[in-house]
This record gives sequence, C-alpha cells and structure tokens, in this order.
Amino acid sequence: MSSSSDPAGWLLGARRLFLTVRWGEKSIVTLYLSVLSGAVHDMQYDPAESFYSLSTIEVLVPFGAFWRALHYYASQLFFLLALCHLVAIILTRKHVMIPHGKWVLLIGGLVTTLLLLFTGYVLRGDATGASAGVIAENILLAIPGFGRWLNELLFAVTTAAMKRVYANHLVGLGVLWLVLSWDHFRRYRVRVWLHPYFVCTLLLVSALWPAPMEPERLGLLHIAGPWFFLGLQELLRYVQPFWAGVLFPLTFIVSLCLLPARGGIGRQARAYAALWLLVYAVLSAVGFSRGLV
Amino acid sequence: MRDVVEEERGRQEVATAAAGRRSFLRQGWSWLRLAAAGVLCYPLFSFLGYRVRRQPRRILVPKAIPLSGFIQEHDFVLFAGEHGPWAVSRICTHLGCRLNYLDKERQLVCPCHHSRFSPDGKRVDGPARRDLTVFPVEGRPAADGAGYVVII
Repeated sequence: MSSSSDPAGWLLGARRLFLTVRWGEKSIVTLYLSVLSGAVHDMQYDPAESFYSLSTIEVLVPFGAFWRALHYYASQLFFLLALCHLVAIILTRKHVMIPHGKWVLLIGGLVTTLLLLFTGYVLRGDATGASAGVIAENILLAIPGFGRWLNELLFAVTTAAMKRVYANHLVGLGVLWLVLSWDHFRRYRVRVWLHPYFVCTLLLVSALWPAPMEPERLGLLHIAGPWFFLGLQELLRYVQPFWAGVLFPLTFIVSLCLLPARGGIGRQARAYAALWLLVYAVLSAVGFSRGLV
Repeated sequence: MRDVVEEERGRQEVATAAAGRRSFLRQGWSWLRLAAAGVLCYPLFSFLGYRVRRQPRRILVPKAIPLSGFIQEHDFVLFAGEHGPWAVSRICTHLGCRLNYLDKERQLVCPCHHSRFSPDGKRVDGPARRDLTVFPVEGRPAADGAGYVVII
C-alpha cells in the first residue's frame, strides 16, 4: 500500500479528486453563461469595424468591459471544462460504452468548440486576432484541391474581412455544434442556480479582470497566438503550413476518434494521442517562453 | 406435392426478385438525392468563391522622408534611397502577419514566426520563402514637392 507521501499515492489521490468533480455539468453552466454574455455583447459589436468596436465596448460602453470579460472567461472555461469532462470519461473507461459513431460525433463537437473559440479570437480584430485570421486562412489555402473552398466557407478574412468569421461564430459553428452534440446534450438538464458559488466566482472574475486585448503598435515584435494554438504557432516556424497546420492536428483528432476501438487499434490510438500531447506540450512551452523574453 | 413445392419455389423467386428491385430502387433514390444535394452545393460554392477584384488604391503619404529614412504606414513601409523612393508590403509572405520595421537592425520582422526581410523586400531569414511585394511609388506633385503616392 502506498503512503500518502509517495508520488503514486499523490497521483491516485489527485485522480480520485479529479473524478469527483462533475465536469460536464460545470461545462454546461459555462456554456449558458457564454451564450448569454455573447448575445449581450453582440448588441454593441460591429464586425465592420471590429477593433474599434471592441475598444469602445471595453472603454466607453457602460459595463462593456464586464460583458466582454464574462463572455471571454465563460467561453474559455467551457472549452477547458469540456476537456476535463473528456479526460474523466476516458479515465473511467466510459468512452468504450458509447457507440463508436456517436463518439466520433462528440469529438467533432469538441473540434467545433475549438473553432468557436478561435473565431472569437479572430473577431477581436486586434493584433492577435488579425494575425490569427490570416494565418488560419493561409493554412487552409495550403490544402490542395478544396482548401480554397474551405477558406471561403470558414474565414476568407483577406477578401471578406470579418463577415464569414462573424457569420460562423454567431450561427454556423453554433448550429454545427448543436447538430453534433445534440444527442448527448439533450440528455442533461442543468440548473444554473444550483451552482451559485461557481457562477458568482465567474461573475466576480469578469468584473475584476478585463479580457485581454493586444492593440497594433509600432515595434510589436512578438505576438503570442491563442493559448491552445501556441504549440502550433511554434511548429509553424520549422514545418510547412500544410504539415504543421493541417496534418499534424488532424492525426490527433483521428487518434481521439479511434480511442474507444478495441484491440491493437485502440491501444495504438491511445499511445499516439499521449505522445502527441507530450510533443504539443513541449512546443507550447517553447512558444510560451518566447513571449517572456 | 411436387407442384406445390415448385409453386412455392417460384413464388419465393418472384419475391426475391421483387425485393432486389425494391432495394435497387431505394439505393438509386438515395444516390439521386445525394446527387441533387451535390448539384445544389454548386451555386453555394460558386457564390462563396467569387473574388471581386479590388481596385488599386492610391495612398497619399504627405510627409517628406530623409535619405535612408522610412515611414511605416498600415499596409507598407516607405523608404527613400539614392535611386528614389520605394514601398514594401508589410504582409509577411509566410502566413500573412503584419511586419514591423526594426530601424536598429534595418530589417522588417514578422512578430508571428520571426521571418526577416531586408528594406528592399528580400527574404533574409525565417520560415518565409518568398520576397515581399514592392509597390510603385510616385512623387506627389505639390507646391513644396514633399509627399508620395503609393499604389497598392
């Protein structure tokens, strides 16, 4: 029996603690807050003048900074808590009980959540957002054949400014998420008022800490991309856009889809996913450290 | 007895053939619906894919720059040298980020992946593979002779 002071004991304790939290329920609470705050924020946001609109919301519009911060933090938390929920499902091996087709749809829903988060970054129109938008566009254009069509559907920031991104963030990706996740989502009724401490903490954080914004300025020599793409940003320095921006993340998504598979395929998928995450963590750490210099 | 068995076999064959025809028609109907969806996608992607050509813009820079100096505008950096003025695009040829000019090092640097370019737009270092676009520059006719027009 391992004592509480040895690392294995700590790990087991941490795992037990991790599994006591109802991550899925918390993620739905943050989803509701994100949608509500996004709807409010959208009343003042103008995609035709994205950065100017964002600045006026932040500085001039009463409680603008609060609504923007709430939307930002709730959205980030939704994604993080959904990831924790995924990890908890995998640790308790509940993922093998889900029909494989439904599992693939849920992974698709997670990817759509990431895209929603990313388009939100782009819509900021600041230095980070503008760069993120053009980088995504050029990565899609690097896909032979249908890359151009995919870009026209999702981004096209060079030709259509924020129009496509806004439409996708507001409607397209949300609908796609619902279609992919509905069968899972409709089974759970979450009452937000049963999570008062969690909600109040989020509201307090939003009131006290403004959401980040990076204005364009002379002599800006380093832009750190969205935190979930830091590793990708680092990899793009060394590897061509198609391999780094398309194939590399796609292999991870495929391995996630194959996680519940039985036998050798499932084992290989799990091993690959773990290795991929390790590599990505290292790349992200390197990318993060560049911003500190 | 044999007649009954043969009649039953015949009936089964007819039923099997009918089931085969129904299955074929059902599949054919599915393929037809798929083809119709594909055809309907064509107007969608034709609409989305059309690129309206942008009109060339004449950007007025109503300032004078010293020899070997520069002016950084939103879309370009304007330089002046012995052979006259020129402007290079601020859009990195790697993945489209906006470059900034570092006067101390006399290089344009990309803040995203740190590609570097010389003032005449030549790629120096980093993941970018192509040189920057160089825009034509006209001297602006004015009473004081100062100013430039950059055509992008």
